Amino acid sequence: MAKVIFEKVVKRYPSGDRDTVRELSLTIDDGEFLVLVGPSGCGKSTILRMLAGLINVTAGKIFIDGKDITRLHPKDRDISMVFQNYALFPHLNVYDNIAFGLKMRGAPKKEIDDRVREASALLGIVPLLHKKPKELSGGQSQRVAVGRAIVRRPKVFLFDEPLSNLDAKMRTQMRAEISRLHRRLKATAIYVTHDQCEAMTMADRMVVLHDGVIGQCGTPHEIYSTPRNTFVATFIGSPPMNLFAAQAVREGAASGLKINNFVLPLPHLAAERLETGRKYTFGIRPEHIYLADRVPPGVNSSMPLACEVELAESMGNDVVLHCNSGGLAFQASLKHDFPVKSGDKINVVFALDKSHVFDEKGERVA
Amino acid sequence: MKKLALYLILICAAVSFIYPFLWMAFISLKSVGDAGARGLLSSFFTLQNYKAVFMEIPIGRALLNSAIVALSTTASVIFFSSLVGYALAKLRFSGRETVFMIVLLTMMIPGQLTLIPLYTLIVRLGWIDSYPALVAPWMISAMGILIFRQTFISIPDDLIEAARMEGCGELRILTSIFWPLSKPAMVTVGIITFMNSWNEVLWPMMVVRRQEMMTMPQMITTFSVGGQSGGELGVEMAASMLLIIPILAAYAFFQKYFIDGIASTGIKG
Repeated sequence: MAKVIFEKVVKRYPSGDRDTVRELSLTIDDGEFLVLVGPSGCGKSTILRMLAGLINVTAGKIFIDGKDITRLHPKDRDISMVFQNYALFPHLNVYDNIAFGLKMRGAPKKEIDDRVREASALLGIVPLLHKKPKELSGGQSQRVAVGRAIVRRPKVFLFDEPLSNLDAKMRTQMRAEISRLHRRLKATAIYVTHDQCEAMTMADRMVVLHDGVIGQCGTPHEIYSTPRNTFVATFIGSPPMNLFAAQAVREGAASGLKINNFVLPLPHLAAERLETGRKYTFGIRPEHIYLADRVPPGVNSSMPLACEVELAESMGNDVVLHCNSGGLAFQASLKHDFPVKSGDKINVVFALDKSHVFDEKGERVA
Repeated sequence: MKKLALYLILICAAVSFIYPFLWMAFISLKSVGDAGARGLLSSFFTLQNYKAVFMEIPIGRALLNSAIVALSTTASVIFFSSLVGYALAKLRFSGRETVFMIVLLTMMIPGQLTLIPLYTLIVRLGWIDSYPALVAPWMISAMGILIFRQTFISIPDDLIEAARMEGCGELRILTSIFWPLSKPAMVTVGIITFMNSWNEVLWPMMVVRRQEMMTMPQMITTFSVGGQSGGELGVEMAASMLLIIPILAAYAFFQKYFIDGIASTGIKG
């Protein structure tokens, strides 16, 4: 397996008036499962396709195991890829689809047969080997596409939104299967998705992309708990983090943030990074908002805030409340162990030690 | 009632198309004395006319020449037209649309207009009375390029990318992925090209003078018009029947693909 390095890689399409990928520098360690996540048009698929050699790099270099592969043909990079639409060859049966890459490389028949059967057994698709792609379900097609990718034992696996055409149940199942497969093969894998749930559950490390640049790179937990900027903060997490325009104020010895007419005293460490009078953005995740009379022990909570529940969405275990407090709209995610309905008046508190503060540019301050 | 009327119209149309063929077939099987009679049927059918054709002209050699020329032209048109069609459908290069427009433009130029320059070229190359003279000018066709381009455009790019990742170069992608997925288009181009090449009279007349290099239609035209047939209708029809049998056989064999190809590419013959 292999270490992949992007060195100041730039991509600008001939028809574009700006760079789709801007000076990307990134190292993916040997055996790592890295997930590129971001909204449509952020450049994640472009990065994958540059690594695959399917599109040219405008500037910069890409290395695999120290070898510059920037200008190599896709077939010479020793990479395999699973496509969003599976890209199975319709005229070939499952066996021949899986064996295709080995045949193209002139592998001996016996070796091809052994490897195809091994990969098929691993993915549980042996009974499908004689079938044509049009006879397969979405999940089966995806397994065959994965089979075609693993049978060559390449240095790097690429996954381009491979689960986006599957239904929710199949997606969850395939997600777990791909993760298990990765642990077993210990392969370097780069996975592109716009689904943060996939990113959070599968990644060793994830890269949140925004507008062609890395918004943040880190473990799923790091990105979730300490987002570097407001984009990452709102992109990762469902429901998204609540953001409020705020101003730093000093009341006596304590510093805090004033949101509307409501002052939030901040923990000491956060407060000392603020400059009185300056504008900030205060962020709090919906699950860090509690009913004032049900605050878990040990939580450093704010003063109660009276609000009205405009909408209560039951999610089974949780209920998402769309609240409004004097024009301040936010969402709270609470455990579904109390009766609450639209139109109710409730008091909530914010868990201050779980709060986030961003400066005017949206960069994390505390 | 409406259906009945429709069927009657269709039957009339079918008969008007089929009758000349039937007439030709029956005349070719009638005896010399019977050939002038108006009706299709006769009390006595014979293969005498066919025997006469084989006796009087080297029809076997002409058949072989026609087969060599038509098959080489067809294979070449399928290969080169699909090559260009693939490039115009799937490869990105500057001037791609202009090239396609030029290809379309060549379809508007009447074939007769290019005969003299082509003939001059063939003479200068010293190819008169040779297979290259009969094949080379028709090795690629704008119609073929158009059909392949239209067919290839509908094949998803993902398949090309998957094939590239799996180790294919462009030629391999064409032959291993695009050809098998474009059988109806290949058969359509193949039959149209084969038919055109097989039936061609004018061009062989210009570049072939030696009898042993003549193709079937050229030989039969020379035979019928040139007086070798002795003005016998039955013998002339027998020679013409020999000419159309391979075309009918090819069509019957590939009929399913041919109809698919015409339907999917929207090209009418």
